[in-house]
Amino acid sequence: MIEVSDLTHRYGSLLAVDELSFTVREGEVLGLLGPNGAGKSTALRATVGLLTPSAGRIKIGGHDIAQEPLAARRLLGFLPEAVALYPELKVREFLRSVARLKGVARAREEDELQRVLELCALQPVANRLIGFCSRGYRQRIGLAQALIGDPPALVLDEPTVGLDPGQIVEIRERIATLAHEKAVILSTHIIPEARRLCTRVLILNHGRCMAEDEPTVLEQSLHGGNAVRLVLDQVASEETVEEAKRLLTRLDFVRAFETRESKAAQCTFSVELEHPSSAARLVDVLVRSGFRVCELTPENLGLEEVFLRLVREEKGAAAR
Amino acid sequence: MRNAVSLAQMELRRNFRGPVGFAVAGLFLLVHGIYFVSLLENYAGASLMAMSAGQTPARLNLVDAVLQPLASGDTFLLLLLLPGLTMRLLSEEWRSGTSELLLSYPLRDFDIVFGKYLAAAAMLTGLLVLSLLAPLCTSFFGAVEIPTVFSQLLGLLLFGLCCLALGTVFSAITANQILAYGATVVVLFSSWFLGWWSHNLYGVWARATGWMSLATHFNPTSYGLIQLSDLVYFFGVTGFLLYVATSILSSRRSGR
Repeated sequence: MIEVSDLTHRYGSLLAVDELSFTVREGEVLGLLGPNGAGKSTALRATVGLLTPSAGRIKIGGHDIAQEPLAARRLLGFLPEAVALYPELKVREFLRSVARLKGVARAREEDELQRVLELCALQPVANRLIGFCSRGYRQRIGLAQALIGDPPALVLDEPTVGLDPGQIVEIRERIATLAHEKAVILSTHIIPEARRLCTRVLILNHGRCMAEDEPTVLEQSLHGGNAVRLVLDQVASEETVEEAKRLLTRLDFVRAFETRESKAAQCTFSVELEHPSSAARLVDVLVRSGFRVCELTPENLGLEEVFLRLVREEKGAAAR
Repeated sequence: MRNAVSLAQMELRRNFRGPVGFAVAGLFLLVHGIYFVSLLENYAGASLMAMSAGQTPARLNLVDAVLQPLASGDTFLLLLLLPGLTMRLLSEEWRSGTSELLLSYPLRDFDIVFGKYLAAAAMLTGLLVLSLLAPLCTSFFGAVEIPTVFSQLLGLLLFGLCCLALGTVFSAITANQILAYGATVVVLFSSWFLGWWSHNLYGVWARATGWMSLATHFNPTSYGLIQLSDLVYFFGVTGFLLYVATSILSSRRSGR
C-alpha cells in the first residue's frame, strides 16, 4: 500500500533523509523509531506529500505522489505531530468540513461523521468548540480527521506525544483497532509503544535506516539469538558459585558468560552459546556435575537496548 | 471548484466565530455610514443655499454630490480594511501549523488558494450589499440613477477583489499576519497614488503609470461608466495575483 524507495531529502547542506526505502502492506504497522532529528518527520512529511523530496519515489496504492498527488492523497490519512486544529470550529463542523474537503459524498457524510465520532469516542464533545476541548480530545479529533473517508493508509506522527498516561492508553487502543485493516506508519520515540503497536520497526538515525524487522526479531538478532539466562538453584556458598563459573569457562560451546545476580541460594548467569542448540548440552553437563538447573530461557535484548546499541554503534563508527 | 466552495464555507464560519469578520464589517459600515450622513448633510445645505439664491447648479444632484464621493471614499476604506480580511487567510495556517492538515488533503493548491480567497470575496460582497442602504436612503430624497449605482457597485467589487488577491499573495508569503497586512496596505496605497502621480508626468510614462493605478480603472465606474479595458485590467490583475499566490503555495509545499 505504501512504497517508499530511495527517499533522500536535503535541507541545504543538511542531509535529513538518506536513501530510505520501506514498504507497508495492509494490516501492517511500521514503527519509525529514532532519536530527535533522526529524520522521522521529514520522511513522513515526504510520504504524505507535504514536501517534495530531493530524490526518491513514493507510491500510495500504486499512485506516485509526485505524478498523481490527488489520487495518492485520497488514500491517505495523516495525523501530524502535535496536531493543530481550528479552535473556532465545533468538532462536528470541523469533521464535516474535512469530509467535504476529502470528497466524501454528501449522501454518506452524516454516516461517515457518526462512524469516526464513535470510533474515536468523540460523541460527548461533538458540539463543543475545539478550542474548549482537552489535549486528549484534540488528539482524538486529529485522529478522527485522518480517518474520515476511511483511507486504507494512515501516517501517524508521534500520536501520543504530550498526552497523560490515561490518554496515551486510549489513543494506543484506537490505533490498535485500526491496525488490522490498514497500512499504518507510526513515528515514535517511545519504545514500548513501538513494541506494542508495530508489526515491524525501522530504526532511523541521521536519516539512514539502521535496522528494519519485527520487534522480537530485532531484539534477538542483535544478540546473535544465542544468549540464554541460566538460573542455578541451591548454590548458597561462594565456593559453589566459583565451581559453576569454572565449569562454564571450561565448556567449549560457551562463548562468554557473566554473573547477573546471586541471592537466596540462586545464582543467575547470562550465557552466550556458540549455537542455540548447545542449550541442551549445557543443561546436560550442569546436571551431570551436580548442579540444579532452575531456569534456562532465551535472553533477548529489549527494544530499548537494540535502539541504543544501534545508535551508539553508529556514533562510534562516525567518531572513528 | 466544489472543494474551493467547501473550504470557503469553513473559512467564513471561522471568520464569524472570531472578532475579525465582525470588526471589519462593523468598521466598514460605521465609517461608511458616518461619511454618507455627512455627504447628505452637505448636499442638503448646498441645496438650501442654492434655492435661497434662486440658482440650480448643474452638478448639484444626488449622484454627483453624494453617491460618487461616497463610492470614492469607500475605496479608501477598502484599502485599509480588506488587508485585514486577507492577512490571516494563509499566514495563520503557516503560523498555527494547520497548513499540514490542509496540504495533506486531496486538494489542488489552486483549490486551497481560491477557497480562501472566495471566503474573503463573499465577505466583501456582503459588505457592498449592505452599503446599498446608502443609495436606498438617498432614493427617498430624490431620483437615483440605478445604472450608476450598479456601476459603482461593480467598480467597488472589482476593485475589492483585486485588493483581496494582492492580500492573498502576501498572506501566502509570510506567517506573520501583521507583515502581510502592512505589505498589502503599502502596495495598495502605492498603486492608488500612482494614479495621482501620473498627472505630473508626460507622454508614455504618464500613460503607463496611470494605467497601472487601481484608481484610474475605478474612477470611470464611480461616474457610471463601465469600460471593457477596466474590466480586463481588474480581471487580469486578479487572475495573475491568484496565480502568483498558488505558485507560492506550491513552492512552499516543495520546500524550495
